[in-house]
Amino acid sequence: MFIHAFKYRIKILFNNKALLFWTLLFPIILGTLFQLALSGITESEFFKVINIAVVNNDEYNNDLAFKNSLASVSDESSEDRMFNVTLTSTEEAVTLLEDDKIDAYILLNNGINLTVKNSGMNQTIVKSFLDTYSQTNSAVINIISSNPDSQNEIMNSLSMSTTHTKAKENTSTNILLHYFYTLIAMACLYAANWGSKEVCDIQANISPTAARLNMVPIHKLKIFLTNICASFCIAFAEILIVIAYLTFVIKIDFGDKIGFVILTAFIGCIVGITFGALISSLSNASKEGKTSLIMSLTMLQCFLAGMMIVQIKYYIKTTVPILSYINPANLLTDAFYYLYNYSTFNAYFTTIGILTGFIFIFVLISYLKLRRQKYASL
Amino acid sequence: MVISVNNLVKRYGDLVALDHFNLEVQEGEVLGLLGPNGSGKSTAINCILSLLKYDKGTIEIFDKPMSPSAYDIKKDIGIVMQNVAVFDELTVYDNINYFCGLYINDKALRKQYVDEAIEFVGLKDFVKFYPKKLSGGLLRRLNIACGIAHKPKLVILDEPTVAVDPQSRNNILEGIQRLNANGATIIYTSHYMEEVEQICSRIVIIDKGKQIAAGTKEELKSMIKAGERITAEIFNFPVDLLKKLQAVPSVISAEYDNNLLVVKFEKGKEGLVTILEFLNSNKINFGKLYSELPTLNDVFLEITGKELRD
Repeated sequence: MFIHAFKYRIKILFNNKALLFWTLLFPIILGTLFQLALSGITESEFFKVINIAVVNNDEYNNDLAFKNSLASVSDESSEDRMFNVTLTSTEEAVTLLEDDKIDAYILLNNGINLTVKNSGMNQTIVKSFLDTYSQTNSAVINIISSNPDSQNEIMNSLSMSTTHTKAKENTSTNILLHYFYTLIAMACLYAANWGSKEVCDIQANISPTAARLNMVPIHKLKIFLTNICASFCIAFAEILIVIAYLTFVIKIDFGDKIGFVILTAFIGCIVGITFGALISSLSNASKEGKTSLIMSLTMLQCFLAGMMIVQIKYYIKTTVPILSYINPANLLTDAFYYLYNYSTFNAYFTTIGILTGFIFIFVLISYLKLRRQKYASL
Repeated sequence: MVISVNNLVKRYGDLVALDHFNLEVQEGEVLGLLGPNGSGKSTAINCILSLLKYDKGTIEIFDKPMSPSAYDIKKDIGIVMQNVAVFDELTVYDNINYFCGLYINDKALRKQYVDEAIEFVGLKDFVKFYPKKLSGGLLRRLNIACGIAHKPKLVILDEPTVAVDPQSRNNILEGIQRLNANGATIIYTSHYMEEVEQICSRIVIIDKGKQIAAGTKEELKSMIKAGERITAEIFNFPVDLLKKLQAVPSVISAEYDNNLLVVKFEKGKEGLVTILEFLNSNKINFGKLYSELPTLNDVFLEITGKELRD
């Protein structure tokens, strides 16, 4: 039965031209427009050296690893320079920040403390640099404490890692990539339309075909899961096509972790489909009403993730951080960002973990809502 | 007993759609569920099929309680919805094969059943068509094929001929009779009394969610006082004669409107002879004159005081 129902479900979905347009062609068109709109912007327009201050105290002067890392990304002679660092007292740093002469200042006092006045791209880059440094530093300390002989080797890798991070951070590609990350996140979440269709097609009060399917001698959830599998296959194939288009036609470099990029898209598709199923099972609206609701919610998520205005993402992250963690579009964007920019996987897997948690929540609520559903009216 | 419904109550807010509705369907019969629009026919069917929640009552199909998870019952039911329930994205063949495949696992048997269903509804020339390319009548036939391809023991057809041309309607009605001849028990809901009279072995009349009468068409007609109805085309029929006619003992009612005199006689009375004698004796010339036996509409009219199609 599964193969029969699955095969026909694929046929039904594949012949749904309207949905195929929104879930496949629309992201491709949008990606092409992004490229046309953003390719003319030069790197210098994207990235300027960030002015920061570091409080010149004993802890800073004794932390040679941090000093060296900061120096490597502040070298005036380097093309990859990220920061223009001023060594100051705490009071001077506060004044400079107040006068908008710097974007942030760093104070080493029982750890690395970052102070910013506003939220924005520059502040996020500084924070990203410090986060990466802290993660790498703690990993190195752990390794050296368990294996002191590996110190030299580790120091070499640390230097390579820092250089790698710096080079990545220091290009305009980062900003351009952000738009494409949100685009892929949007394409993943558009799979919500497939999820919604699957729920509509088993709700007898929504369509006559659903009423007929409610009368077949098969558990409704079995049909639903079969159909969801078919929807997932179509949605995932679409995402792979979108990524292939962005990589090979638009020539977007998503880095060397292509396996993880595909894993992220895989998780993203499931998030999208289960999100659509959840909204559709909770909403009492008509089929069209559900579609409109899903499209609106997806676009809102992408907007908050910075698809239209990249600063929105950083504004949300600093003012309402919880929103960043409950916005699937933002989490997907972050996952892609971590893959490209971070040499370690901690942040990436944390994000994937949160997304997986969302999948379980979406599935559970949809299941509770749909099981043994009978209708007050048809 | 194929279906047994007892005291079914279904409310939509303050509106009582089914008011202690009862129904019994015996194996092998074609039961017509007849009632005007909004009388509760479709609601009753949807409750019987466990698609709708109901407030009170019991429903048994094949002597087992019906529920959404009664899969052993569902496998023997075929349903033809009032609204066409097919996928626009699948061809005629694929639609029938898809739904049939949800009942029949064996591929060879399924192919045989699908081919037979296509033959049965006369869609052989349209198997590769998508539903949007089909006319209303052909679409209805596809709807029926999807519901009956798996050869169910019980077929429920909910107004399958709505918006169908006469040729397709006849085709559908003949098909239903053939289904019954092949052993299926049929429930047929309609507000077209002619269709119900034509194909149903037993008829249940429903109004305001209640069963108001049940029986064969002869039994139903025998329940009412009215017998023959005679219509005569007469110009300027005098009012005093109309009163005189109304006073004739065997006459139930006599009305004159638009040059037509309509007289209803009591059952078993010689209406035609009586009216001819009355017109001759009063020297009234007439044009056409014809006699009709009572219809289900007369039954409905006498029981409820309103027309079936009101």
